[in-house]
Amino acid sequence: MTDRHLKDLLDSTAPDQPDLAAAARTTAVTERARAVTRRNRALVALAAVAVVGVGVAVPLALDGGDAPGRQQVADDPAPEEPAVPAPQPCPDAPVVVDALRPGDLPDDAAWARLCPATSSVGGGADLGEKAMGAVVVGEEATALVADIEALPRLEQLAPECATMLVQPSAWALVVGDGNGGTATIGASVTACGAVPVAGADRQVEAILALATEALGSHS
Amino acid sequence: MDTGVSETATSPQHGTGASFEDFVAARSTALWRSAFLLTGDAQKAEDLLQTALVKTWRKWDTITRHQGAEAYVRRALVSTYTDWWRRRWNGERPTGQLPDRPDRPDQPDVAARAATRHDVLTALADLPRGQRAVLVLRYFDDLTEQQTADALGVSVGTVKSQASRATSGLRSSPALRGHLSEPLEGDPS
Repeated sequence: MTDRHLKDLLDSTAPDQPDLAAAARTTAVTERARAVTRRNRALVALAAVAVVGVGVAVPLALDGGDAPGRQQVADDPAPEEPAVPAPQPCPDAPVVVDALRPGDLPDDAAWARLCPATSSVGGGADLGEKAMGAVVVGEEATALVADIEALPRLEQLAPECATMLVQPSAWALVVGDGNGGTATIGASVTACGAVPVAGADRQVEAILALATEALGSHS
Repeated sequence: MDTGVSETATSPQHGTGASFEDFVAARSTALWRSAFLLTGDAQKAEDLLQTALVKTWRKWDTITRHQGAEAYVRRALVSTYTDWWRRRWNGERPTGQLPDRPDRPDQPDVAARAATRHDVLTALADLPRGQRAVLVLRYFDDLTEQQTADALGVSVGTVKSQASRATSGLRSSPALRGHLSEPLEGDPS
């Protein structure tokens, strides 16, 4: 059997047309996608309200038991949807990038931030206070991960990298998922390096450009 | 590979979804057929495709800025497919009987195609998921080895070895005995 024969066999196996028309599928997909977006936005808003609520309720509770509306707050039903995990702080110690293992970033990224890092060959990179202190959440975090995963596969480093002396300067991007877990990518250099993401090497400079662009616009 | 409107549907119209709709209208039947070969079931294929398209819709602006939409959807399709297998989200249970059995003796063409479908799906069901995905991407979707590797997030060498094992698996499948009159290309036996 040739490749052609195999293709014909597979071609005759797959039905010519699905039951669902393309227009109906488009409608179904856009409705599902918009519902997911609405739900994510609602969860972010709910989390914000919860944070404010705790900020108000705790002082009132400490102030005594006669605060108005206290019973009503306590009787409110719990939200059915789990809240979006709040961004976690950076680890107490700098991330050791040599210990990072290649892995996927979460598709449902809830937040992302750059964290201090170090490596066996040198210290951390100076990426600016603004980018280092910022965190992106929700769709911005999801978009950042999508942008990074959409970077072209790095086949080889730029020719000038062979002759350049690259100063070691480690960095780490920590991404939180919807379940409270985290994934971290990083490198010991900010140029002339590759970072494995989603099964393919990506250019260090390109990842950092996306991360600092996304995080630099936040404070 | 025919990329259809994916080359032209680059305008970031996420809000209106117009370009996305053009893409779905032009390409979703072909993508659904690939999904059918991956899952072996029309309803699961629809669910798999819609899940991949939802992921695509949410990142449409980014995808069209950096790469072809179809490449992204195919990657989402196979990664969702393997993810389902890993998490058993689809509640898949082994069954001894596949759909579309040849039960229409009054219509020979229909019966013959149903028989072929049944036999091929039986043979595909015996392949590991990775091999099945490589087979569909390489031989049905006509992707190159590099494109297949990119879609699956594996090396070209892995694609070659998986394709070789998959074709060997099909050749030795009892279900396909009546369909394989010639040796598989590249098969030493």
